[in-house]
Amino acid sequence: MNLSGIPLYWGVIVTVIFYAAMGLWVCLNPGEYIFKGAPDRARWRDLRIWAVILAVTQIIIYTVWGK
Amino acid sequence: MEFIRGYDLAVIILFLAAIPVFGLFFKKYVKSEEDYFLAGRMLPFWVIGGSIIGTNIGAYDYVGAAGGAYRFGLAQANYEWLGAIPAMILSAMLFIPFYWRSGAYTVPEYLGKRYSTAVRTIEAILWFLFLAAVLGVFFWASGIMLKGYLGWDRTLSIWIVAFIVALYTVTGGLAAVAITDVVQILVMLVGGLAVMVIGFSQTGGWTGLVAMLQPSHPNHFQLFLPLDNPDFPWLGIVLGLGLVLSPAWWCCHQAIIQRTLGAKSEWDAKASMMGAAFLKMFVPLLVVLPGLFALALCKDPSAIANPDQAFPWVMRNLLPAGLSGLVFAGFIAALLSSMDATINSTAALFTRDIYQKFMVKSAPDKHYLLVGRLVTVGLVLFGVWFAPITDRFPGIYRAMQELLTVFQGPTFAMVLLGVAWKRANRWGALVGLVGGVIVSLSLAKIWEPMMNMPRTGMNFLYVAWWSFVAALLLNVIVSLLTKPEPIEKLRGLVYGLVRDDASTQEVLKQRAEGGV
Repeated sequence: MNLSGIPLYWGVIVTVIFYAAMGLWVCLNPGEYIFKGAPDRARWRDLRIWAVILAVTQIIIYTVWGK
Repeated sequence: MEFIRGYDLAVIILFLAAIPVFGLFFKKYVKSEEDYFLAGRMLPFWVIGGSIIGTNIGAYDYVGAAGGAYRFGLAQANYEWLGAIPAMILSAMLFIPFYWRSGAYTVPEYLGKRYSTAVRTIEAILWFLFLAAVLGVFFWASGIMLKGYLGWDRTLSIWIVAFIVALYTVTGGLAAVAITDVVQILVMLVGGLAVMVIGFSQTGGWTGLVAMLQPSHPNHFQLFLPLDNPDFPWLGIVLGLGLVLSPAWWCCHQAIIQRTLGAKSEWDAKASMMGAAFLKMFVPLLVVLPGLFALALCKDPSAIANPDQAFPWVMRNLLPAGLSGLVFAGFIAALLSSMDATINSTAALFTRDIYQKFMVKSAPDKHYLLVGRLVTVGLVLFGVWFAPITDRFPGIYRAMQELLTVFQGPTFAMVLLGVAWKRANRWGALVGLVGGVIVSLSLAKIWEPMMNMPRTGMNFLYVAWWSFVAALLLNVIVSLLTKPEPIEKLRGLVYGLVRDDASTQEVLKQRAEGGV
């Protein structure tokens, strides 16, 4: 099977889907799991928000410089 | 030596003197094995996050990644982005909570609880050998850098670095390692920012840099390279790096995971890795841009005969007096923070998974503390001895990847199934691990560079992918053909079998207190 013909933008598409799926998966975790062991439930401690910021930033980077 | 200036030397000496003194401060807090290897499980997330990145950015990044950027351009940044961020999120949300709850000191210890002693021992020996070899890579990189910048004798440089890192690692344990890492990462960031500002001022900003390099190096400003690229084919980056090597590093690497096990709470453990991911996004500014600056600004190609000389060239030729000393201190910080973590983790592996498991099972806590410290000294000496051998590999950064590839894929397959699939059992894990390593070795032919033979092995990114697939399939098939593990044994150790009720927590607490 010759794969060399697959265009570069497929790499970008796969990467964007990968990051989006990762962010979505983290968001689906319940608050009880996210905040376990935290002293309070302050908004900044919500790791789902952290994950979404990371994923969106990476999607932008790979969309701009991927290919 | 003409580039050494008084201010630079003063900054470097001040830094070299301050770090061990700072680390030695923590000696008084080390009273037990838990204090030594896990900082008494008292570390907050921001200390661990800084320490994780300090551990991750090593000499191989400054020297090797800048060299990689010099040769391949922006594609080198995949190691910091696609090759890190998703895996760090996965590690924080899926793996670290299970490690932390199990009360283990090491990843193999978790695998011993989840699978069997045989799996734990094989994994511990593999990690022990790998980390010990990596120490040699670190020491060799320090020799290259100190010789290149200060003109010091390579062997003498290696011994000086070894002495400094041993001084605070042996005495202060993980607490000293983690806190000094935070100081070191600050120095690295300041130094890296200085290089970035000066580099961009000389190239006319990002646009100017692109304009200077794009005509002669059209692929240097894209993250993905065509499939026929022998070093960075995009499919290999996605499959090998993104799906296997990176998760294996961030979810299973003893030196990385051990920091999170020292967290004061489960939230701190998870948040430390997430916080580290934010810092990780900026690492290409420190390690990739210098390679591009060197390519754009160095007019004499013979000055950078080997791409690994790109970063030293930037420091010698771009930075003014005083500032190059600070950047160089940042490089030493990167070296020390990776070395101290590797030494501490390798000592933990030997002490917990080999010595305490098979040699002396029930000695007083002070005994294991002493053993941990003696092993730490032994590892430093081994690293110094092994350093010249790493020169037989074609590049420092590649050398580490070659070593990683052999067992990272099979290890990740085993840990992933262990955490995510309750039907995975000890026989599946064992066969998957051994079979995967055999597949790795046969595809990579790692013995060729070690014996100065021409390379005929497969690209390491594909080796990682296929060894992972082989180990995963073997694990699943053998597990389904053999008896499952009892549910009681798996409680709290497998995703889907986690309950936060008191009885499960009591079981986990007893396991943790039961030590090995």
